[in-house]
Amino acid sequence: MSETQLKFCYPFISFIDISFFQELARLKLEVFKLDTELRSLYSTINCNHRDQSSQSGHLFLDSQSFDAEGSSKDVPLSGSLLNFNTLEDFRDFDKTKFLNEKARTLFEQGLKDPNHCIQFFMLSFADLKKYKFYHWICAPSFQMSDTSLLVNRNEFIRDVNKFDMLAGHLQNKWIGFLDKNENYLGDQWSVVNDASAIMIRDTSFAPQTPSAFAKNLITLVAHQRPKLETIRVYFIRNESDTSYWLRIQIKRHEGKDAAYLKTSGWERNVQNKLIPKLTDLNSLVNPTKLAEQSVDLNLKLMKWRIAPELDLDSIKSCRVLLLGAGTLGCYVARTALAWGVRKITFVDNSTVSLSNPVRQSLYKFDSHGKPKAAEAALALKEIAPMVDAAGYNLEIPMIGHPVRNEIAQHRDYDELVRLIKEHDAVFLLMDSRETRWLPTVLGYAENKTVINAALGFDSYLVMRHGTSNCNDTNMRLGCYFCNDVVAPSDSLRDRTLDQMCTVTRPGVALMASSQSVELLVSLLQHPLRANCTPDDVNVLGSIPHQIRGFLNEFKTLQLRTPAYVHCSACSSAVVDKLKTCGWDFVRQAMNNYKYVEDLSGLSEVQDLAEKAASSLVFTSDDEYEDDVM
Amino acid sequence: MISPEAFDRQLSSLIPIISKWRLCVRLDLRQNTEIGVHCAYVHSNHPNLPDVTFEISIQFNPIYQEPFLTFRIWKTKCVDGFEKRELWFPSNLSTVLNTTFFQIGLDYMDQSSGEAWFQVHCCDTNDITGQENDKYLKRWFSVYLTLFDERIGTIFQDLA
Repeated sequence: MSETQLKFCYPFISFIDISFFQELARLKLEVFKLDTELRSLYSTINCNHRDQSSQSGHLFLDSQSFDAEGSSKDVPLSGSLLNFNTLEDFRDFDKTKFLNEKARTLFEQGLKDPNHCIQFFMLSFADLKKYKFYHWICAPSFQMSDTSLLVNRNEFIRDVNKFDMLAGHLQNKWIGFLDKNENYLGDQWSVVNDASAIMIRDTSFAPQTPSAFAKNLITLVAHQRPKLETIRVYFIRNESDTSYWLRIQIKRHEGKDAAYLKTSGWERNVQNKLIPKLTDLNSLVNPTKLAEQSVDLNLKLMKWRIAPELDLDSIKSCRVLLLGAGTLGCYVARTALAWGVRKITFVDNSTVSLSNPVRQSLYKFDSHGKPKAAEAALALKEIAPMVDAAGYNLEIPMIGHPVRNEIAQHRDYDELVRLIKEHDAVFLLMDSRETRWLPTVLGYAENKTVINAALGFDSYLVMRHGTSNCNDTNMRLGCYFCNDVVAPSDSLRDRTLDQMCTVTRPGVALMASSQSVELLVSLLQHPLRANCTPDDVNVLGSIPHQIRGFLNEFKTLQLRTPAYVHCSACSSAVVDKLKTCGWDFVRQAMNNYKYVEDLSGLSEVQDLAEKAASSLVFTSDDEYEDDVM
Repeated sequence: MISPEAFDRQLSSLIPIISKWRLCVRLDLRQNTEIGVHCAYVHSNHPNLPDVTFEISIQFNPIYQEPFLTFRIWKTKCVDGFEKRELWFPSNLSTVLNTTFFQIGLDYMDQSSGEAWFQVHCCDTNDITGQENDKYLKRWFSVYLTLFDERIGTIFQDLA
């Protein structure tokens, strides 16, 4: 047979399951972040069956490829992933230099252990916003520039049984050395000088054309035995009857220039072009799912650099009840949504008026006349279909507002109790003090996180209520009613329109709403949640008790007020009475707010104050001035 | 109809045969013990459509008590210096597949992933495949995979 140049075919056809990219996206977001270190990959080449178009086995990558524990009966092959942070980095990366460097590394690794000269590398860029994955795989193969590999004899292996037995030595190995009687010597360089033949695992399907991995191994053998001129090489394939041997002549060329490693290895496409690949998974999932992933992405980016300890799951899993679907309710819902809250429930008993849409961001002109709570929930789902939003049209029983329809109001009370029980955080966003009273008491009774936001013309209050499970009564934080010495009563009777409506500078509601949600989010970052003190800090900073904002001076203050032992809402006498008597207690409070004052001890405080006042002797200012004068 | 036990048993024995299908690039057997479903997962290159890959899933439908075939189509083309792979939803499936005998709709949504798949409705499977016996699933494969390859029957000749 005349001498012919030994040809090689690419050692595998990469097959990347979409689960690989899904896992890459997760790792990029949660583990790699901005890190561009090489990451290990674990894969296999499947040579067990071939489709009609394949010249070699399939290198299979899936979600398990990042995990060293993955096992398979296929040929194991380790690799490395270099994931870039930008598409420009991926495009501009010097791929030739990278290939040369990795080929050199594999050559040097191979000089220690020939089985370590075979590896693959993957470059990638994960565009997580568009869910596109750019990638390119290489399997560096090398040959000395001054050496030619020629074939001067080839044959199929006749003694298939013998080579099946010898192939057993290639479990997890790429090469084995044989003596002149074709007995197995080993797979390390220590036996290379005694070897008369070598056997190499072959992932190629092409007739008597080995995979390019063999090039690395033969090059290393030639390097270890510089005087070697010919060697018999057995190429062992999965199907024994396609295994073969070649007598290979190693022809060295004398030259002036120093020999160097000639390398190749970037995977070509089916048209045999050197071209990187792009897998577009944008249309893989439905838009709802994609929107959810995109919202999560924006939040997870906070964890890359700015706040790595941020606990997003605690926010996502927090079930939020918004009492009031007006200006505050709409903005609170939007901000909660932006933070990734997935369950938001509105309670309101009014309908959308013509004046509402310009201030209340979840309504449009067409919403006019529709129940606010349901309309707000609908709008929220239009903005973010993945949100679990619901609206309840119910009237919150108000202290000092006598019972009118006991059946309906009792039903509304029961519904309110159920909703508070089913949620983790309750926002008080109503437009009167007395509406906030019952949810405040229920918040303590059910031990829920309660955030209160209230507006003045150019000022606002945002506060978190204390909790009922604070052991130190002196340390317990107060509620909205703790500064009052009277119980709330009907504040709407005999009021003019400007006194009944919330007349505020339009920006005030946005400020109060956003700070309300940010306060909740800060609380959720603390291990004690609502039990943390205003002195505590966490990854997002401080966690104040109250924030009072004054728009006329563009100023905010952080305040702290302790719980008042005779508070009409959070005192233990009131909370315990609600727990034991339920609706009967509420009915009495509605019919007569003085009942609550008596219960909490406020009446006694008022009596004492009056007695103290009557015992004082007042002088007129004139007299005083006269005295001074 | 076929029982879930018979489906599992017959599917296991057919896996080595399906893996020899000339179009089969990759085949995985996934077992979901929670709901007792086996799922064969095959990728193939169509000889007449070199830029298309079919991703096929076969599982047991507990309502119809029949094998249930879902698939999606990946299209590959060169765009801006990249070989781009993306899902393809052709408006006329018959230009890509041999749809003559099947009712196909793009109306299957994977519950956990939210991913959309074409499904071959299995309401008339019994009429197409015949009564249950030991070769029910083999007959099912030899009929339903003609959707992708009219010569699929050749791989089952040894079992005849």
